[in-house]
Amino acid sequence: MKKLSSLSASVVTLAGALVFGATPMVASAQSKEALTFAGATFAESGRGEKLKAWIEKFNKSQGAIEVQPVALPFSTLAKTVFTQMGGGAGPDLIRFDLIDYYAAVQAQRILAIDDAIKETDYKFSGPNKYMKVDGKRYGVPFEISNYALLYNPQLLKGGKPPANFDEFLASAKASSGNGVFGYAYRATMAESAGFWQDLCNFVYGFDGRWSDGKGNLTINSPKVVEGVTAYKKMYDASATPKGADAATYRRMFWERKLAMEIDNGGVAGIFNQQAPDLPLAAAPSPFPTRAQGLILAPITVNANTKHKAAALTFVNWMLQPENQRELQSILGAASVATVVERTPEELRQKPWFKVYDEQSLHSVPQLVQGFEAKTPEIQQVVLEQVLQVLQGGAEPQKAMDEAQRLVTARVLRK
Amino acid sequence: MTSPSLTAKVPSREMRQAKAKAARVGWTPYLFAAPVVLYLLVFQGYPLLQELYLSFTSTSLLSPGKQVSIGMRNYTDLVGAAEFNRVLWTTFIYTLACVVFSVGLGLGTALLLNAPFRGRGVARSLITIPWAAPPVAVALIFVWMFNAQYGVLQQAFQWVGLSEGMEGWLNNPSRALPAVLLTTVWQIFPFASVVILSSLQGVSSELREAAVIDGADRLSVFGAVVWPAIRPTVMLLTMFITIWSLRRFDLIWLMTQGGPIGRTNTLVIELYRRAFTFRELGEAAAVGMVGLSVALLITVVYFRLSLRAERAAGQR
Repeated sequence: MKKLSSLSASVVTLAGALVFGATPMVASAQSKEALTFAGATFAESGRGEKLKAWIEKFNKSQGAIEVQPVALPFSTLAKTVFTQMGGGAGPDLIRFDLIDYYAAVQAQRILAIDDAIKETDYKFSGPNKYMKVDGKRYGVPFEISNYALLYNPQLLKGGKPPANFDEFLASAKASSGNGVFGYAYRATMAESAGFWQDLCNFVYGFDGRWSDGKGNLTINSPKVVEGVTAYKKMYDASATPKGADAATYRRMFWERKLAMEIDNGGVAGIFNQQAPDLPLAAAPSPFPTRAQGLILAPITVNANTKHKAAALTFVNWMLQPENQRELQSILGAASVATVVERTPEELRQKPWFKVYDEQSLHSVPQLVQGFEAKTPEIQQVVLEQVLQVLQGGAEPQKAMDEAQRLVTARVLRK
Repeated sequence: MTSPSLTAKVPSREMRQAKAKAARVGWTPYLFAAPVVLYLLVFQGYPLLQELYLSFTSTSLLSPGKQVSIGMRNYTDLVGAAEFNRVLWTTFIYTLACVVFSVGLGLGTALLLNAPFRGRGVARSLITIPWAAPPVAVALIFVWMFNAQYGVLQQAFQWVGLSEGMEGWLNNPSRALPAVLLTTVWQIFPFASVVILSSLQGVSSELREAAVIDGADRLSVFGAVVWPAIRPTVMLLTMFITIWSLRRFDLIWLMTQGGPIGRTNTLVIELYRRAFTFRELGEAAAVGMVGLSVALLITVVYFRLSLRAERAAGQR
């Protein structure tokens, strides 16, 4: 009987502790307005954890709002979020790529935020102009990143970067062998978003553009064909790890098994964080012109959100100078929404910052100008035709003629 | 003496009993069937009707509520399009190869496992492992095995001179489909094997012995005694594997996403691409309806063949 009484007492005590002890905790969690922020960067090694810590600073500064980062893979972020949005749900805040930003704006899936973000309150950087659609702002740049040639001087003959495309090809071939590859890029539909970025760099570098900006497609123009031909020459050079995805070849780079790759400044930052002793240098991409792609990833507010005010509180917090400075240092050789000057110390420690920063003048968004909202569909058609060139033996001109025809018929329905 | 007409009007005792029994049973069978019927109507029937409706509209994934009726346009765009013909052809080749190789291998291994030998129990257990493995895990493991830089299969193919260049099988337009098929058959043939084995165990040993005593050789015993007994099972298995292969998504998507250059692009992959890559739900629904029609056609053919076989057996 005594045993039973003590057991009962324990149960009652435990139940009491659970009921009364848990109540304040539950109340505390429920008292904060929780909102989700989806982005591919949260899944990146190195930067992901630092970004989560940066968001946690916001959470600590707030008594009523809590932002929860949601890491989604880069290759499936848009598909996942768009499906959720179509169903009337989705994360409250989303870090889109520019290509998906325009599609989301056109479908009215993200909110116009002009009322909360005043142009005069912040010193926005140049690419901020791409955030306006029909005069309205639907997002704020979260990350702006340029492209440059990253190379490991120890793996290049003479330690110098190539200055033009012929040298680039020769250098890639000369560096290959004994488990080392000269160059790496993407060429599979499994990584269509990255494949498009890499292709844009070649096409823009050869002065090609996907449209003339006046409503006419130029997918089969001579300059675009030159860019595609160059892509094919590199593919056939036996200097690339064919089929390797970006995660694999980036790892190969910091493991000193890859001599060169053209990548954005964020990746340069990841390399530096993952392997601080890695001999890393940057140079302008070795193409006839300096034009290269531009990564512009805006932060946007889901039109389905029930926490608009809280979401905008976070965006305004993000735009404060000290938070912008910290975000820029986390992102690496990338810049943020507002102008943040790099310190001499930063430039001394990471000289490749300068190459990326100077590239800003020559960066072009990876969009089909005038058909921004249709770019994801155009991208798919173009990439499939480029694969016909790379793997199916098609002539670049014929393949691009076919891409132009298919885009006109299938995407533009003309 | 009763007249025939009078006899016809008065129900027999059996009929009266049957009617009374039916009256006693009443609604009970319908009540038992109702949950399943309701489930099918809600989770299969309604979505199917929705899909049918969607296939006549232009609907974006981003705005599924805004549906614009476009009549038969999604279907007319599909019919005759070279790209879609290639999808149908790839689906046909993939399905046919899956059925032939998995049922063939399954039959062979079932016959082996039905014969007495030491360690038969262990062998029977081991053969089920590929079938028991989750398709996602299988796909990811095979992707690594085919990886051009680190894959063991790729290395093995290189040693025997079967791998040109360095792109690996999954990125090679002429080898991607065989690679996906190899993986699929590896995973599904054990299921065929186990099913056929259970059917083989039902074959009368007396009949076999009688055939052997009558002088029949092994092939004749198989043709005259074993095959007729397992034929209905093999037929049913063939139908199942055909339909499963038609709608297989996970393995193909994870290994190649329908590539390279559409060489492994089957109907289901095309449906997904149109819905989630091109964000055209209407077009995707039209592809889905084509797939459903093919599956229905196969089911009808199967049941007609089964019926014919039953009638032929009855006449004998």
